[in-house]
Amino acid sequence: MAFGSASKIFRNFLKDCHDRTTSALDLDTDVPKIALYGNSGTPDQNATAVLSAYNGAASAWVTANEITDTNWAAGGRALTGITTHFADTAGILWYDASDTAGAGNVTVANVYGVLCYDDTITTPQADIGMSYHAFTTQPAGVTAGTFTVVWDVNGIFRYTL
Amino acid sequence: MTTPAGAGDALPVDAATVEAAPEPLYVRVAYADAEVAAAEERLARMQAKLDKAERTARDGVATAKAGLKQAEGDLKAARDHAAALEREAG
Repeated sequence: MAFGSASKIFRNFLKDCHDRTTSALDLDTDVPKIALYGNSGTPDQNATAVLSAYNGAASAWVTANEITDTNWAAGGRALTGITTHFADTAGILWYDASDTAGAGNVTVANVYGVLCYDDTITTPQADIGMSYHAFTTQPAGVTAGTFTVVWDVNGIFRYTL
Repeated sequence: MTTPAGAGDALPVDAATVEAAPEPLYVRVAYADAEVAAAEERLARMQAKLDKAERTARDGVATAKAGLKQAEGDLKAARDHAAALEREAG
């Protein structure tokens, strides 16, 4: 069991975007969260809705695998500055947000990556996973300091069409 | 026929850390202000979601009613056509 080095969009999430199984899904208004994870779970881009969800039963994203701090509480930190870039570059669509920081100084260790999930969605599957992201340098950690998830310059996820 | 080529996926992230960063009062104020700004952004997005949900519901009902009316008209026309042919066939 290991987080691995891959970063992936959940296929189930893209299916939801297409067929609206999760009819309330709307990235234009929803507020996703970013939760920190260690090396215990094994992410799977082909996971079902429940197995991609934050704290989904028997998933890689159960709270037992989550890494938390007073200033990075269980459930994670909300994304801010969310933008779907459409008009910027022909042939490319990407979803981006401001870098995600703790609510104050943080002490965490052995963080291997993050889960990005839709915290707004409650049904038919609460907190469905959108994507997971491995840190380029694993593991990450800090003691009584600042901890910031720095999104790639090309966004959280990106489609070249 | 051409096969479209494309790619899309999530991107890796970096963790930026500063060990034992000083947290004097002005830093804590900055953190608190950032929390307020983030909460205000979440509130605005949820209000936008509610507005959109209400608009979507109205549009959905109107679209479904129009589609139903069209389908009823199509069914009547098909039945009339079939009946006319049956009469013609004797």
